[in-house]
Amino acid sequence: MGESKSENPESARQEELLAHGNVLFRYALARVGQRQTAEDLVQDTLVTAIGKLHDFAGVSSLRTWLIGILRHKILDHYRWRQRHPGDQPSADHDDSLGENEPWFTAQGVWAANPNIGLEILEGDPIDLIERTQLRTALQLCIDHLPKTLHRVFVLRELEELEPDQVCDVAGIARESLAVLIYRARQSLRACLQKKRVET
Amino acid sequence: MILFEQWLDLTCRSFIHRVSEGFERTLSPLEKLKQTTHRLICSVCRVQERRLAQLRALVSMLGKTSPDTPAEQLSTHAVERIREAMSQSLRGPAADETSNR
Repeated sequence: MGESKSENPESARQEELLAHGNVLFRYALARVGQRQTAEDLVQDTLVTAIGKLHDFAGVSSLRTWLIGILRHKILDHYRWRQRHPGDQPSADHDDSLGENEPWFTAQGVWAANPNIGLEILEGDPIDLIERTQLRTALQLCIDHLPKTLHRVFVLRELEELEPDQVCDVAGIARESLAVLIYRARQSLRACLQKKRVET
Repeated sequence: MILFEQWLDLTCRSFIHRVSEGFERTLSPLEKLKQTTHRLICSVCRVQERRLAQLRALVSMLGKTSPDTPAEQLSTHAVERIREAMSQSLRGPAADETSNR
């Protein structure tokens, strides 16, 4: 950032907003799972922000305000994806909802002990999430959920939207929500178990 | 015994499903009673229930914290693109204002 930039008030405002770019990017990436989409969302957010900077009352921090804008962009992105299922850039997510649950026998009993390999989850979540290996494994497992499960899971568990809002944004029936979230949690659990993150 | 099993009607699969459902809605007293009964007789499910709660807490933390690794940073190209888009958006309304005067 050179002196010439700060001499120009517009450039200075731009740089001030851009300084939050990486935080916004990580926030978006954790939710959409694709670098390109996350970058586009950050761009939309910052362009919106610079146009509305005069509306920023300063009640919250600038970062909180920007994340608020980004959250709306992410929800719009999910709504758009729901309306345009054919235009989704990720071809790697298969959309089967995992009707088969290999972790149970036909009698509904565990096929294998589901707790083996998950000892890593014991402990304070704040300390655990600092461990890069676990964090990466968890993020990878979330990113590899089938599309519908991914969308519903992110909106409910990461964005912490209310169930009705999740159904509205993801375009699913209210009665399907519990089943989808259940499948996502089980898939995630199985994925983490498979990765066997070391304690 | 058969009557009890029929009443309970709760396999490990339905127990875990119900645990997950319990995060989304309040279970009825009867559902809770059946959950408690199954929990008492199945130690694997008991631990698994705890693991799911731990996993949930972890995912929630994942959404609130952000690591600073190079892979999770905007690329230089993206920063330039965003800077250009912001400049353009600033020029846009300004140009309109001038033309309206």
